[in-house]
Amino acid sequence: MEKIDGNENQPSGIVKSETMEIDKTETETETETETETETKTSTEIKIKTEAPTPTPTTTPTTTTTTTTTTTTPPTTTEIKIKNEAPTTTTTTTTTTTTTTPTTPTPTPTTTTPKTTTETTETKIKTEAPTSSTTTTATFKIPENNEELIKFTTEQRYEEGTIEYRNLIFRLESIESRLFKNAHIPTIVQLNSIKVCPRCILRFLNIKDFSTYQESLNTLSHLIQFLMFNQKQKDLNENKQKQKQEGEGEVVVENLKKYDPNTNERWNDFVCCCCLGILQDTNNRKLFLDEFLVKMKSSGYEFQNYSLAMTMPTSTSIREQSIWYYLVDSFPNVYSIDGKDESMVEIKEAVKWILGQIIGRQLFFQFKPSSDFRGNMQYIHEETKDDHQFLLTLQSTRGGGKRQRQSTKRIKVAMPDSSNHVNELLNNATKKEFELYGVVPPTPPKTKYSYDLSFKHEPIYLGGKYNKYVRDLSQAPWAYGDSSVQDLICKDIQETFKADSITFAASGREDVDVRMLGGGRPFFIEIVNPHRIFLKNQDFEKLESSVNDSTKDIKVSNLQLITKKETNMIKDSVGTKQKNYRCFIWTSRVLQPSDLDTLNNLKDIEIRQSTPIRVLHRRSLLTRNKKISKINATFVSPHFFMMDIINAQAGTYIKEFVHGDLGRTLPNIGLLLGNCEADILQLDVLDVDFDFPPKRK
Amino acid sequence: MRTLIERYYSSYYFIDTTITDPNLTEDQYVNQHTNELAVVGVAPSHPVLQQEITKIEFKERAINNEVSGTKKTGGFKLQSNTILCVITCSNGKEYFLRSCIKGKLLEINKELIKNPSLLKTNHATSGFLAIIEPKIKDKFMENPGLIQFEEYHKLRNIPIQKGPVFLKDETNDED
Repeated sequence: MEKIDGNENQPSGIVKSETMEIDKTETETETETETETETKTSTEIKIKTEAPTPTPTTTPTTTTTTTTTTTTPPTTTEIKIKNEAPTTTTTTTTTTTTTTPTTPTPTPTTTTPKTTTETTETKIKTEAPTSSTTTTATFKIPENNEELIKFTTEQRYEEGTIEYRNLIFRLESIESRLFKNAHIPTIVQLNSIKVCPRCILRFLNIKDFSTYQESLNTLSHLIQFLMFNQKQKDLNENKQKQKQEGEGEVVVENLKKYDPNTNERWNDFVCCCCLGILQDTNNRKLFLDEFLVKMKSSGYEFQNYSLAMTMPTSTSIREQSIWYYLVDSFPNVYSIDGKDESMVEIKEAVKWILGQIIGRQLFFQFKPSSDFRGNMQYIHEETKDDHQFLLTLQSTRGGGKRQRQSTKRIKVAMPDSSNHVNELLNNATKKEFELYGVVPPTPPKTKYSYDLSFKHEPIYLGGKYNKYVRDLSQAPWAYGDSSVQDLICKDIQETFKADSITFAASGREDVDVRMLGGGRPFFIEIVNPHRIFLKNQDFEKLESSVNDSTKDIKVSNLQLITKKETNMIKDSVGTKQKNYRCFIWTSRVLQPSDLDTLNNLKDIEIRQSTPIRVLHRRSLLTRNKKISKINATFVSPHFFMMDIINAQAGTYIKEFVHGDLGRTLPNIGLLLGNCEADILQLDVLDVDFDFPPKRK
Repeated sequence: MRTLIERYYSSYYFIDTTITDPNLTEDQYVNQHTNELAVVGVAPSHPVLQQEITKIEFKERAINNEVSGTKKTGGFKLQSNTILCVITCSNGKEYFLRSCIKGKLLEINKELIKNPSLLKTNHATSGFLAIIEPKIKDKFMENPGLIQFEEYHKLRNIPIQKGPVFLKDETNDED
């Protein structure tokens, strides 16, 4: 006995077929033939083959089901597709089922073939099927058919089940929400040239991203659903018209209901617009699992991510080609210049779908300007030369419209780059495109492939360093064995697993000058780090690895800083004041009281011509500098110690002391009067800049 | 301890080889800094240091010399015998001071114009004449007419003194 769901209004159009199989775990629906399926789990469905019906009636228009050849389906490899929702029943459209993989034999029954077409003759038949030897059949992809990837639907829907109701409900709600004013013949046309459901949505300008996130299964049904309903409507209108015109007795029947089981294998093509990119996107086996594994095993630490995508250039060409095809097919609906610039791009649609999935499966959070970026490069080998005709078109374009040559230097794009192709596309008229190109585009035989690589924005490590020796340069130098930079950075690249590192400090001191006090701020730019999460103890470890290995320098306040903060360090070079201590020789004999002239000075203004010792690499200028205060301490008649307080950034202290052949005025010798002075040792006491601060 | 010049510069001296008279010692020094720039001045054996100087006049082109940028473009191109300045003494004698090396003039000593006495008191340091970027930087002795420090001192019979000059404590003399 057929179970008829009480809620459903059974119009005459629906035909139930027999020989249904149940999943062993589900017993909700009864079927004529209870069939046991071997090795079935609750989440597995096996695709069944169809044997052709012994009495083929009207062939359904849109389905390719009943076309299969012989009664013995070829032995195929089994596909098991894991489905999230527990499956209840699977119903076969046609009668016979094959038993085991080895020897499929059709068992003809006396069921009428199901049709979803307009033939009104079909009536509900509820017959008890006679065959009882049906077991599950398994559909196998022929082993030699590697190129053709089938996007087959997995699910059978028995009327009255939850899945059936859900599907129909979903389809109806989407239809009423988004497709009320849609131009359905467009769908028919696009479907006929083998455009996938999501691309159809794009051409219809559907921007509701939750629709794209529906499974391909649902969307494929949606397309068929919309076309079916439109046909029903047209049919009815015809009939109404006929009735009004009194062309005889025509039976007007109620609109039939869409039967999701009629369409199988209407999805086994590669979309001619997106080349499979939008077909695969949430298919676990064909794309998603591999992609997620790649993302997971990228080897990076990150907080959020973003995806940048490059599409093959042929997608733009094909999109344009399809657009022209639509203009030709429906000149009243689509105008030549009306291609909507805001049409959903393939990239956008992919991101809508993937974003949600990545968030749910891997718990990665999407952020548009994230520091961590995955670069998806989609490639399609088969159609990589699709744009060639545009290049030949451009070369054959003799006189004609000349592009306005800008006198500014334009970046010349590579001939195959997407920028260039888009430019050529914009310049080609419809006529030219149709003459030289292909409208509508031919469906490809192969699917896309992709390349996924990752990159993380640089992170910055800030700190302060001290230098305690007088023979170490800051930057690596030909004449020195090591440098401050080398000593600080020796373990950094490895710790962060970075591509490269760059060292920068807030100013520098000479080789023979010590850096005392709190230390000089510096930062290290770490390019493409794989490791970014460091805790206080990691920094302590880094610091001690440097400080314990050498007495020449000391590193402190190591911490991660932002890019903005590095600008603070860079800018401080010119603004921060510094304190120095130096040891001075004088040619003249001095008394302690002679130093009073120096100690009484306040806000000393000096004018320094570029010192000769740096003149070879700096321009010849005069720099006005200020020194707040001097504290001179007598040591012996020819020597004294001098502290320089708050010297303006960029003051050449050594030249202030010895005068640089009289090119720095005033200088110590002049200030003391009748004297030559020279500097023996210099230390930087402190750099007055409290960044980076001590770690908490 | 070394003086500033000893620390940073290599001292060379330019002898006019056309002059054979050993009494004519109008020598100039050419000190090359470790960064290969040269400072040109009046050598201790030059007679002008014994004279009373009334005027030091640099050539106009040297005074108006302008260089720009780190490459110092636009400097006065000098030959080794280009006259940089003329010194007039109280007895009317004029001495011509030359570049001594081929190169580009970077700057002249403007302080010397304001304060000519610098020449006699500090001819080796703040009394310098000009800073020049030499054409031949690397093998500096290939500049014609240059002789080394020791050779000069031997030739002109001047005792070599290394290290800074500790001036005598004059306060004691007053007693």
